[in-house]
Order: sequence, then C-alpha cells, then structure tokens
Amino acid sequence: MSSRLRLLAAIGLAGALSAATHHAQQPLPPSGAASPTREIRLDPVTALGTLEGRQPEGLPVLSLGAPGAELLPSDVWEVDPRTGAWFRKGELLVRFRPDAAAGQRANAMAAARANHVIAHLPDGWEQVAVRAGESAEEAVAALRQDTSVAQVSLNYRATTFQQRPNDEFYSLQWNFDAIDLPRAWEINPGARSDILVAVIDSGLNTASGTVTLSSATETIAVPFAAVPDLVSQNRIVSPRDFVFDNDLPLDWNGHGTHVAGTIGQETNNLIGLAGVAYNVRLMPLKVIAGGWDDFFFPTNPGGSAALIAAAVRYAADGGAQVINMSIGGPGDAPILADAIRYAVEKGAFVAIAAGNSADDGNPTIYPAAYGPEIPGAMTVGAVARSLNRSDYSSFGSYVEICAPGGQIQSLVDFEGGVTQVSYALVHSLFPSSLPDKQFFFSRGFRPRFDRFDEVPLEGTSMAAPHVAGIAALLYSQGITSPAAIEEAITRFARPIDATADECGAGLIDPRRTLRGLGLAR
Amino acid sequence: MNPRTHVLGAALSFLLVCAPGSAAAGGDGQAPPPAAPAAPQSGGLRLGVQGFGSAALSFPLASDSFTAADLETKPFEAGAGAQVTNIWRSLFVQVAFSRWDDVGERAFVDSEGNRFGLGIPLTVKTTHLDVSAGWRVEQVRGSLAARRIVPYVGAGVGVLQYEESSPFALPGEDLDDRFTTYHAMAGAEYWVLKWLAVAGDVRYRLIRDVLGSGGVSSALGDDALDGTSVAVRVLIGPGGPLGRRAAPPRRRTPRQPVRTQPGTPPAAPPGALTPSPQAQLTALTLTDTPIFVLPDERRRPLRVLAPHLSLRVREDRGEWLVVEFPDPQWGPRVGYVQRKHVQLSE
Repeated sequence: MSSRLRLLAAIGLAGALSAATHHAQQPLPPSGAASPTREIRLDPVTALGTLEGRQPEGLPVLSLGAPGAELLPSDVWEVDPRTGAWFRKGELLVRFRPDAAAGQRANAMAAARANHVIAHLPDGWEQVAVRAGESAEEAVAALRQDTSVAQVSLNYRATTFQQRPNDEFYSLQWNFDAIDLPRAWEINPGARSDILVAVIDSGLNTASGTVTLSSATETIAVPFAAVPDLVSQNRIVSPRDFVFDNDLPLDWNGHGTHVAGTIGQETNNLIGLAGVAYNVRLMPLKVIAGGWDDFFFPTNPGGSAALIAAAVRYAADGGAQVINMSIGGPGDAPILADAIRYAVEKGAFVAIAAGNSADDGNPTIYPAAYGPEIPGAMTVGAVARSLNRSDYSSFGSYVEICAPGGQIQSLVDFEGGVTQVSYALVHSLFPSSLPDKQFFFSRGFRPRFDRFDEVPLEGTSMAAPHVAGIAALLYSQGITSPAAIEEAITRFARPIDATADECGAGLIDPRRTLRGLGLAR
Repeated sequence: MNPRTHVLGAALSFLLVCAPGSAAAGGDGQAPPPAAPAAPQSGGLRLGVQGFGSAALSFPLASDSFTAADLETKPFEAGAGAQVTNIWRSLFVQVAFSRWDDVGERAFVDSEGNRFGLGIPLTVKTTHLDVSAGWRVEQVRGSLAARRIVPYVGAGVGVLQYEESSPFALPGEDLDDRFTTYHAMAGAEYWVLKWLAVAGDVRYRLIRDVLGSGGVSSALGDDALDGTSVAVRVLIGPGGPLGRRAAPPRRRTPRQPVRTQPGTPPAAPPGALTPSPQAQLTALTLTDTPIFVLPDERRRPLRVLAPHLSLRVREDRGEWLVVEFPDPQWGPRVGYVQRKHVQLSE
C-alpha cells in the first residue's frame, strides 16, 4: 500500500522540471516489453546521501558512529574508542602537581608531544593541544605515567539530557508531540540497540553506488546513496530484496525510507528529524516494487502475497522482535495470516497499516483484517493532526488502535503530514503514476535516489510505524511477549473522538504504556 | 464520612482516653502507695495507661498484586501507640499508629497473569491510625503467674494514609489519599514487671477502595488491601495487673455466728482497730488454725485458733491472710493465717 501522495500533476513543479524538457526527446524505456538489464555498482566507501538544502552551511563530512550515535564534524571531534565518548580532536586537559617544577612540566609536555597550551583554566588546569598528527589519547596515556601530573583527561564532549530531541527539523514532527512521545523518551530513550525491527516495505538504501540500466537503445545510470541520519555502521541487519532477490533492498519509491525513518531515524544529533525508537537496528526487507521499479521492470514480482509471506517469515527467523507492515490490499490472502501468526509465535510483534480506502468504498484490507485474529499483531488506523480519524483511514472492526498518519492538503504540507526523511520530491518522488513517469522520462527526467529531504506524507502507512516503534520501546522496557505488547498498547490507549470501528481502543499513548502499572494505580 | 473527619475523630478519641488515664496513673507496688491516687474501680481494677511500641508482620490478602509489583509480600510494620485500660470494668481503648513502606517496580500484567517488570521504581507507603476498643481479661484472683497474662479482644476503626508514587508521573497519576479501615484484634499481654509488658496480637484489617480500580491489583482482580498482621508490642506504663492487690476469690459462704473458743475473751469491740476497705471479708476457721506474726509457717505460732471462729480479714496476700483475732492475753491483735485453714466470706 503506498502512502497517499496526492499528485498535483505538474502544477508548481513544472518550473523545477523545465530544464529537463530542454533535453532532446529520449527513447522511452521498455514498457511491457523486455526490461533493461540491471547492474549495481557499489561505492567502495558508503557515503551518506545528502539532505537537500537542509544541511547547515559548511558542515564538513560527518563521521559514521555507532547506532544512535551523533554525527559530528570529524575534523573537530573524535571518538575515544575506549569509551565511545566524543572528545575535542587533538586536545587534552591536564593539571600538574602544585610542587612540580616548571622544568618537570615542560619535560612531561614534551614527552607527550603536547606542545601548545591553549588556555590556563581555574584550579591549575590547562587546556593543551598535541602536535598536529599526534594522538591525544596517546598523549594522555604518556602524561598519566608522569609523576609531575596530578590529573589528565581528554577534552570530552558533554551533551544535554533533554528528551525533546534537538534535531534540526523536529519542530515539524507534530505527530510525536501529539502522542506525548518526548515524555515517553524520558522513560525509555529510543529503545536498545539489541532490538531489531524489520520493515517490510519498498526497501531502504543501505549503501551507496550506481545502478546501470541497459536496454537495446540506451544506458541509464541511476545513483543511489545510503539514507543519511538513518543508516549507520552496524545498524542494518540482514537486509533483503525479495523483489530482485539480492541483499541490497534499494528503495525506488521512498515509502520504505519514510516508514523506516519514523521507526528509527537517528535522533538528538542536531540534524534532520527524529524517530520513535532511534537506537534500534533495522532489517529492511523489500517486497514492494517502487514506482520506478515498475517503470523499468514492469514484470517484477513485487507486492505478491507469496513474496510478502516469505519476508515475514524471514524477519521472524532472523530474530526481529518487531515487524512493520505498512502494506496491504483488498485481496484476502490467508498465506499472510499464516506468516504473521508464525512471526508472532516466534516472538515478533507485528504492526499492520489498516489501509487508506475509506474514501474508496472502504473495502476490507488485508493483512490488516488479520490483526484482531492474532494476539500480537495490531492493525493501525490513522488520525490527523486534529486527532480525529484521517478521512482516508480505512475503518471497520479490524482497526485496533490509531496513531498519527496525518492528512495533507498539498505535496509539501508539513503542517498536516507526517514528516520524515525520504527522497527529494523533484528527483524521484514527484512523477508518481506510470504515465507521469513516462511523460517526464520522455523529456529527459532521470530519477536518482541519492538526494534526500524532509517529506510530509499521509497514510496509515505512516501511522503503523509509530506503533512498531513504540512496540520496540516496550520490548526494550521489558514486555517481551507480542500479545502482551498488544494488550499494553490497547489498555493504555487514549480515548479520542472516534468510534471503535474508526480507531479501536483509541490513540496510542506511549508514555502511559511504558510506565505501566503500579499497585493501585 | 470524610477522611479528615475520621482523623479528627481519632485524635479526639486519643485525647479523651488519655486525659483520665494520666490522672489515674500511679498505682504500683505490692504495698499500697502512701496516698491512694484513684478510687478503686468496679471489680477491683484500676485505670491504667500504657504507651507502646510495636513491630508487626503483615500478610495482605492481595499478595499476588504485591508480588507483581515486586513489593514485599509480608511487609514489616513499625508503630507506636497508647492504651487506657479498665475504663469501665475491663474495657480498654487503644490508639495505634503504624507504618510500612517498600520500593517495588512498576509492571504490566497481561490477561493471562504474566508479569513484565518495567524497571521503574514504585514506592508504596502506608500509614495506619487505628482506634480500638475492647475487653481485657485480667486475672484478679489466682496465682501471680496467672495474673501476669492478660488476654484481650478488640475492634475498631481507623484511617489509612496510602501513598503510591513513581518517576515519570504526571500530576494526579501518583496516589496519596486517605481511606477508612476497620479491624478486629485478639491477643495477650504478659506483664514482666508491674510497669512493663510484652504483648502479642493478631489484627485483621478490612481495607476497601484502595485496590482494584487500577494498577496490577485491577489486572489481577485484587479489590481489597485487607490483611492480617501479627504484632509484638512492648508496653510501658502504670496500671498493670501486678501493680494492684489481688482480689479475694468470689465464694459465698453462709453467714455463721462467730463462736469463740471457750475461755477466751470476747472479740474486740468495733472500732478497736480501723478496718481497711478489704476488711469487710471474714475468714471462718475450718480447723485448728495457727496464727503467726509473719507469713512463715516455720515460726512458732502466736496462737492456735479454734475451728468455727470468725475473723475479720484485713488483707489478702495470696496464700496468707492478715486477720484480726482475739488474743486472750493481749486483746484484739493482727496476725497471719494460712488461707487453707479458713473459708472466706463477705
């Protein structure tokens, strides 16, 4: 199920694409005929994609830290491998014994290759720089051995412990404030890194490189990049592309990226946006072919029930404690129910989007309809910023809980949509339908998947990952049974102005759920 | 009733029952005090006032909920209080304060009763103020060992101050409220000294409206904080059973004419000796009864009284009675006779 990106045709974006129309008309890619060959070349070093127009001015290359770690300029800050703490590169703080003679001090500094006192600080402390190219850690080790030194340490970096994230565009994430998530983070800040969340969706770029598409008539190079502020070292576990049968689940849609971001976007690192369970590891499993996948490879098997069922079982067998399924359709495929039941029995909680078909006759959506039958799998409807059911959110007895899914009025409605990192609109998302893609492609437009931006979307697809992320927090907090997680979420749901068919137990309330029960209260 | 009203009521009760007790305190020792501080009570019992400290082990019925919240299922309760005894016959009133607190863990309990600890501290504090009334059974007759033990039963009403708090609470989410409680108790005091006793009792408290509406207690179906507590108390204060003279046995005998031994002078005229209040008792000699100057049968008796002689009893000292007897040589005298040789009557 794709999110409801409301296509506003070319209005407003024609200008952005006008340059493309100046190109000579390109041969159309095969449509219904033989697909082009697909060759993937990975960059030797995974570089993060860029957040278009959103990076602070002059920000240098960011260091890739551990999952959940901050990204900081590598020429200013370094990581102490012993503690994992950041420190000011090439600097240390030292205090000599009061009785140490000037000569002793000079000798100690020289031995440690610390040649420059940056500042004399109170209580005898001195801020010292080591020589260029020398290691501050080694200088500290050398000074510790010197009898004239009383105390010495690296010039470590401290941060505030505020729970309201400091991410640059957190203010766009009304959806987190609407469910009181900052207070929930006070209880459990982002879950633990041993929690694994599988995102069964349209994929997630976990590496950088180029896909070369070759047809009889032309060759197209499609660049892609690891998602900034989301993909980092050791964070991605057992990724899998079930559509193209490989281990690089490239997202050629943006939906999977957005959903994964809501679950696990890195947080409190001054850039981008926040995610609900920002310390978890992610298992991106591509089962949905993105729009451009369908454009170039119309015969791909993406979205089939057999593929999705295989992915659910793969996630469960791979140790995922939480699975998010922001996918579905009106076809009743019991194989999915079996797979979800299998996953729950293996200990995985499953969040399923209810569907966006309320305006389209409100048909029953699957696998959403299986949710109530399986304790440990929850079907999630969407609420708008008003906390009323979003107009599109499918309703029926199978909706068990609601979470913010947003309701947007335009492509860039940050006020109403759920904002998360995805592809920059003008590079990949905009021509959403196949005819649009054909139209713009024929005029020279080429998609690329290495430019990212903050993108507001709406849909139960956006609501489900809130529940998946909170399930990860709960798992991390100590509720390790999928059925119990569902019960807890249901029990502590906040009543809202919606019927049970619209929102089940109500709006998810992570703070109350994480806080659990006392003796009498 | 408003909980505040209960507290005020309890405090007033405390003051009321303490006031007369403090005035009546003072009876002690095996010898009467120089000036009798209080009038004898009905049945020979005098008002007593004792303060006490207590240590109790509680056994709440909602132990499953306590376990789920990782709280001690047998919390230790420390307390203190005071009691006034023999207010009317054996009626006593007691005011007791006790408290326990413990730190457990917030949890989630699913519908199958599985518990999942959430790692968030949960502090529970309970403070009880119980006002009780009851009946103490003091042995006013019998051996000293028997008189040391005073069984009692009682019942009353109280106030529970219940506090429950955890981190990450928003205003109104922690609980700090008062609840009315009811209790019944039974136990016994053992008087070690005339002013010191050790007591043990069992108390059952009926406490509703605290549990059951939320928390793990709701999930587990525990709707009452009822429970039994077993307490040990140390009482200090005057008015215990060892601090008063024992009453004579309540045996009625037909009045018989006083018959003196032939040849002995008549009994002393009334008023020759000032009778004490207990001297209304008379002892009828059943057999030849030696009378001694001290309660020691190894001594040589002053006289040997003939059977069927009626003697005025001045004092009951257990196995010995202090009686007035007509001495043929010296006239009315006082001496000791053994209880086994006489029959007492009023």
